[in-house]
Formats: sequence, structure tokens, C-alpha cells
Amino acid sequence: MSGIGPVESVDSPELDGSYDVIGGDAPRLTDRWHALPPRARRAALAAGAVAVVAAGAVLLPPHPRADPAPPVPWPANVTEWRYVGLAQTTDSPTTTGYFRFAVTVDGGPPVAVRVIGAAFDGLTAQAVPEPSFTVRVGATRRITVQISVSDCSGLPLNADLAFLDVTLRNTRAIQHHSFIFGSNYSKDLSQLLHRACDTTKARPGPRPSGSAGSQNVDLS
Amino acid sequence: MNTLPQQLANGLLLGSMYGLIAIGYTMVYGIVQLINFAHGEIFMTGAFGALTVYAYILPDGTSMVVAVPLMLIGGGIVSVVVAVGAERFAYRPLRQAPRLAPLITAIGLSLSLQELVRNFYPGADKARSFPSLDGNHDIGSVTISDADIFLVIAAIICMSGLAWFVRKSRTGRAMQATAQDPDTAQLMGIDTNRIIVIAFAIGGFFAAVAAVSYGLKYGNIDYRMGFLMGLKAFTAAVMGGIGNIYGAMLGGVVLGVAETLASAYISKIPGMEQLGGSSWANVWAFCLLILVLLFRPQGLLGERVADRA
Amino acid sequence: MRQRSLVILTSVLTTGALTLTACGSRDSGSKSDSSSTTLTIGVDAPLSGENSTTGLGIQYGVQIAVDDANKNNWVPGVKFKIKALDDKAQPATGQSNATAFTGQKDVVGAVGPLNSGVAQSMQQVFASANMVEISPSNTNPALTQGKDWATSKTRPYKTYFRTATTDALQGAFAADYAYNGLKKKKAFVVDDKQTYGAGLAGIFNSAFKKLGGSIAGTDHVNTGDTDFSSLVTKIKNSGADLLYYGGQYDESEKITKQLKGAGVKIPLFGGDGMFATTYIQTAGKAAEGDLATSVGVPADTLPAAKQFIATYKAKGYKGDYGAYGAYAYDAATAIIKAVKAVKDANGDKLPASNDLRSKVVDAVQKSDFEGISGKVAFDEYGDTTNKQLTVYQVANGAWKAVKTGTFNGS
Repeated sequence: MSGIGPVESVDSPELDGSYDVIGGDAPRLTDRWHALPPRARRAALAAGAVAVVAAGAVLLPPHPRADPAPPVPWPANVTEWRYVGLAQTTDSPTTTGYFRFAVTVDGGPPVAVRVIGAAFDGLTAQAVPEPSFTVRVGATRRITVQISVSDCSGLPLNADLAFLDVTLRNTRAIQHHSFIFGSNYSKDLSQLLHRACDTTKARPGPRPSGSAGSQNVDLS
Repeated sequence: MNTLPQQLANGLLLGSMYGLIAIGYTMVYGIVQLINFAHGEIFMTGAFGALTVYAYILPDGTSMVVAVPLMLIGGGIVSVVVAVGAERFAYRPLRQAPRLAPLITAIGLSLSLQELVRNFYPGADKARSFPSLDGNHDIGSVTISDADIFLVIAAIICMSGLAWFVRKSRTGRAMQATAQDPDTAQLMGIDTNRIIVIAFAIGGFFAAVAAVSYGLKYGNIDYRMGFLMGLKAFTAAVMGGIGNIYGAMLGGVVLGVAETLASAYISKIPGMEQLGGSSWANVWAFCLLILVLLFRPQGLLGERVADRA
Repeated sequence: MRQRSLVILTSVLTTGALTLTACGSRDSGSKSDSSSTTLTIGVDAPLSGENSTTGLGIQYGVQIAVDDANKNNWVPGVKFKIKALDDKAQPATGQSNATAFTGQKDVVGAVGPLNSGVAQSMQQVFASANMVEISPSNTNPALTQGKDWATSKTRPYKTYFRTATTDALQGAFAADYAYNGLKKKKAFVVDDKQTYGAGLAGIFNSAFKKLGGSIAGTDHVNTGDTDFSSLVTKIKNSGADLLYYGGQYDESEKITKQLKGAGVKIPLFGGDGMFATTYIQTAGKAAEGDLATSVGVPADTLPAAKQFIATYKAKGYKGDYGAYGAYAYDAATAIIKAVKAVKDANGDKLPASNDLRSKVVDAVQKSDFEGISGKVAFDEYGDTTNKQLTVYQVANGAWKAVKTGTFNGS
């Protein structure tokens, strides 16, 4: 005998309940079932079958659920900075340099960027002409950052990895983030530091006016 | 600031802990000539026994003044039970076997105890925090903590108690007799099995005292803590002269001080910069052991071997 | 009448059962039509004892990636399973595990190891078998850029990749934060003499000096040491205002506890090797204010990682996914995607074992996809192009991100 199904033939005469496999203890349920009018019985059966099929269809296969709309990414995870090179300036004082960067945003809402420093206390950095700017998704924005030496003491003249500290803000969050650049930026920055600090080692340089830059922020 | 007093204190404290554990090696060796390599694990189980009392039996927020003695009792019971159990079920059946058999049994026992604790004690596979005594006291230029004071007092009480016990008590004298000649001692009516059990129990209890001090001092314990401490304590026992209880304590202190001073000062000797620092402490400690064994093979306070049968 | 009711009941049940089986068979039928092969991804990490908290995070990170690949049928007709071997943080064990992986025909690639020192012993084995090895956590620069990475970079093994960034960056990032962020000027540097720890400590040491800081002293410890009182006395006497430790949490959690216990209230700063919850659990209050850098940005700022973390927690996996779980997931995904690329390029058939392995190496080199830790792509040395770092600090008994950074070498 293999598995399921009634042991006895359906219309076996000696049905006294002792062989009853499925409904041995449920005569009351079946009686109640038979008390129902035939139409109600058929309707209930149909409804039951539909429910079983529906449950099977919904629950069993690994249903490919529609992905919810991706949440807004954190700004630091979608913003990319690349060092482009020194800006061509003619009238910069020896304690100030202009560095050009390309900023790209890969996803999410626009990111508002503000440059807040270049790691060291003796350096001030800000984007010119506007200290904060916004980059839209997919756009690359070229910006100029003005870095000024305000205090030479405690500044390393030959830093390997140079940092730029920024705040990034989108509708998700405001983050303080450092961008770290490779040898080109470090070389250009240390040139500025040498220019500003080699001759005036002891004397702190004058604070920059901040509006000396004539660079335009352009979109490309 | 002169760091020598502080470093000496560090060494003495570490050495007292080594010494307390070394007692277990030396007493067992003195009586049955067995190197109980599982003794480091007896130390470890003592620490977990004490932790069990603190973490699972005592209510939260029990004052340490109450908790520490109870932890000592709990750790002591576990260590003594493990030590006596090891003697009864692992070593006694092998008492007449060749020397190598109990030695290998000891190593096997050591591994089993480690794995038992690692697998069955909750959270023991990584460091578990142990209640620590953090109060600091400045004595001159030396800073020591409450746990250090506990360790020193416990070590002094244990050692003087043991010295009195071995010299003056009837059982202690029976112990000396058994150590000198077990067969004759038995003929004189001494129950040597009982003496051996007592030796294991005392060693286990001292290991538990060291384990509680270890936990209070370092603030965490794990299932591997017994391995290195056991090895160091064994070294201390050999250096002091294995079989001699005063030698075990002296060996521990010498080893602890040597390690600490080596890691603190060797790198300051010109030309030795590469050979100093904390990571070389073990190297210098074992160099010292080799030197001691070269010039005094019986250990610092050891008896001459020829005395033994 | 009763018989009839039985018939009806039985038929309802049978219908239900058949419907259920039909659903089931439709599901498996779609997979069995292209005869399913099973490939194995090896995992090598310390799964017991030292470093096992982070090691288990790697194992289960890979497990979740493999489960996702099988569930979503990433490579039609190919199932993946993992084979995790415990290297106990021992180079020799790692090497024999690598040999075991390369000897097993259905292993297509391996994720691991955790420790840079172990990686050194495994690279050669994988290279000669032409099998890809992706480490989610090795940070020693020499592994990808050769012994003389500081002066001339050459890639020693073309089969070795990593999804974590290097210590050259991590050490410099830590030095910058210590000097400019914390305003610490005098650091005491300790390492555990392992490839990872000594390398990281050395890089921090020189970067910190370059920034203008001074080194109050250096020392080394052994892994497995428990008593650091002599070291603590030295640090106390040196007047350092920061302790930098290159090594794993197993030792640093004890050092910080003994340091603070002796009344030396200076923060301990370490690398990704001690960025684990175990560190805080063990050191307790003494850990408060301590810092660690880790590779990548905090997992909770990565939307894609949320699902991963939820799965990890729901399955109740042991270990800590915090440091490398997401990187392990991405490393495994890179291998799986490479298998798919190879299969697609080969007329939808898997090449034979040896051929498959070497083609997977090439395909991994060309990886370019959005993983859960960010973009996954490798440069010409096998290093990740996604070079992000975070400084974490212990606050109220948990690691809190205090600063993030991104490196762009151009």
C-alpha cells in the first residue's frame, strides 16, 4: 500500500468507521457539510479550489517581486572628484593657489557641495567665485578651488597624499567627506607651500581677500 | 621619570601569578614525577568557574568585596574538581605505565579541556569580559591597581599557608615523605593515593587563585589563556628547581621580572635596538632559563638529582 | 452519504496537492531544462580562535552571495555552493587550504583570506593553478603592487584581486585624521609584527611624521600575548597623546583595557583589523573614544547593503559583517558574474575545468558592476578602483563613523 488515499473501496459495505483513514473522528463535520444545500456546497468547493490554487501561485515559486524605487543614495557615495590641474592665473599672490577639479554626481538628487578646508589649520580652501555650488546627476562640473596659506608653522611642505575636505548635501543627508588625490595634486600643492613658506618661514602670510579669483564656474 | 620601580612592580606582579601556577606543576612533579601539562587548563577552567559565579549565580550589581571571595570559592571548586578528576581518571590508571604515557595523556587532556570550554561555555571562543578591579593607587612613582593588591596579598597568604602546611601539619609531613620515597612511605602507613590527590587539589586551588587575579587584572579571559600562562609557569617551576615549592615562587618572580625588564630596557642598550621590545620578552625569558639550566641544572633552589631514587 | 463526502474531501485535497506540485514542478522544471552543474566557491578565513569574528563575517558574506545567485538564477544552469576552510590565521594552513581548493575540480575560484600574511603564502598556489583569488580584506600594498610598491609598482600575481583598498591609503588617512582631526602631535606606534600589522603601522608612522607629528616611541607585541603592563608603562612614560596599533582586535582590546586601567587616558587608534564589535564588547568602557579606520563607507549608508545586513541578521549568522561582509559578498559576486560572462562568451556552455578557471580570471579582471559596497572593478594591479575609507570612533559602546574619504589617484 502506498501512501495516501482511502484504504477501503469507496462503496465498501462494511463501513463502520474502524478503517476510516481520513475522517475517522469527523462525522460531525461531514454531517454539517451534508446539511448544506447542494448549491452552497458547490460554491464552497469552487471557492476552496480557487483559494488553494491562488495560494499556491502566490506562495510557492520564488516570485520575482517588483523592486521598490531605489532609496536616495548618500551624497558621498555618488560624488566623484578628479583633479584636473592648476588654473592659469596671472595675478595670484604667492600665498594663494587655484586648483581645478571636475566633480561628477552618479545618481540621486542634485548634490550641494561646499569646500571647507584642506586638512591643515594653516590652509584655507574655498571654491570660487561661489563657496558652494550644486551638481546635478550625470553632469560634470568643473570648479576652481582657491587654497591660501595663512600660517606656515606646522605645515608639511611635501605631503604625499593631499586632502580636500568638503561637505556634501542632498535630500538624504549632509556628510563631511575628504577627497584624497594622487601625486599630481600633491605636487602642485607642495609647490604652493614651498612658494609661500620657503621665504617667509617664520612670518605667517596675509589672509587672502577671497574674491581675488576671476575663474568662472562652468558646466561642461 | 624613572620607570624602573614601575617596571619592577610590573615584573613582580606578573611573576607572582606565574609562581602561583607553578606551584601546581612543582607539587605534582615532586610527588609523582609527572609533568602535568594540563595544569594550564586547570588554571583556565578556574577562571571560567569564577566567571560563572559572577555572571550566572550572583545577582547583578553585587559588591566586589562580596563577589571576589565567592568567585574564589567557585573558581577553586571547579579547578580542584578538574585537577582531582584528571588525577583519578587520567593519571591514576597510568601510574605504572611508562613515563611517556601520562605525558601524552596530559597533552590530550589539555586539548580536550580547551575544546570543551570553547564549545560549551557560552561566548568562550573569544575573549569574555571578567569583572575587573580598576581602582588605581600611586605609591611614589609606582601605580598599582586594586587587582594587583589582591594578587600580592593572595600570593603571600597562599605561599605562607602552604609553607606552614608542608612543614608543620601531619599531612604535609606525609607529603614530604611520599616525595622522598613513595614505596617506603606506603610501608610506613601513609595513604599515598590520598597524598597525591591532595597535591593535585592544592595545585588546582592555587591555579584558581591565580586565575581570579588574572581576570581581575586583565578584565577578560578566553579558552586559550591557559596555554601560554601554563608554559610560562612550567618554565618558572623548572627555573626555580622543579619539585621545590619555594623554587616555584622564586622562579616565577625571576621570570616575570626578567621578562618585564627585557622588554623595557634591552632596546635601550646601543646596538640592541633590534632585539628589544615587548615582542622579544619571551626570547630573553627562555635565554635566562637556558643559562640557569647550564649553570645549575637542578634549578635555583633545586636539590641535587642524585638524592632521588 | 458518508462515502460521498469522503470522495469530495479527498478530491479537494488531491486537487490542492496537485496544484501545489504543479507550482513546484514548474519552478524546478525551468531550471532543469539546461542540465544543472554545480560549481564551488572556496572560502578561506580564520573561522575559529583568533580573528574569527571578522573571518566568519567573510564566510557568511559569501554564503549570502551564493544563496542570492542560486535563488535569482544569476547564471542559468549553474548552481553555486561554498566550501569554507578555516586557516586559523596561520600562513601554512592557508597554503594547504589553497592547495585543497585548487585540487578540487569543481572549485572555480576562492574568496579570502582575511590576513595579509596568510595571503602571501596562498598567492603562488592559486597562480600556478590559474585560479582566481579575491580577498575582501587584505590591505597590505605589496600583495598587488609588489615588494617595492612605494617606488616601482609591479603586479606579482595576475590571479590575485581584492575588494578592499590598501594600507598605503589607510595609514595615510589615519595619520591625517590623527593630526588634523584629533590634533594629536605625539604618537606611540605598536604593531604585532604580522604582514598586515607591521605594514600598516609603518605607513602610519611615516605619514604621521610627514604631516609634522612626532613619534614618541615604537614597540612590537606578539599575537597571543596577554600581559602588556611593561608596554603600558613605556607608553605612559613617553608622554604620547595617541597610541597607534597595527594589528588585530585580539591584542588591541587587551592593550586598550590595560592602558586605560593604568590611568593613561589616550585614545588607541587602529586599522580595519580591529574594527569589530568584539573589540568593544571585550574592552568595555575602556574602548570609549578609541578609533579605527576601515575600508569602504559605513554599510548603513549603502542602500544595497541594507538587504544584505537584514539577511545576515535574519539568518542569525555568527561573526561580524561590519568590516568585510559586504566586500566578501561583492568578491563572491565578481566570481559568479565572471562565470556567467565566460559561459555567455562560450556559446552558453561552461568550458572544461582548467579552461574555465583561467577564463574566469580574465573575466574577473574585466568586472564592472554595482556591488553592495559600491562599484566593483579592478585596476591593472588587481586592486579595487573603489577607494573609500572611513574613520570610526567608539561612542556609547558602538562604532560611529566620524569621517569618510575617497581617493582618486588621477
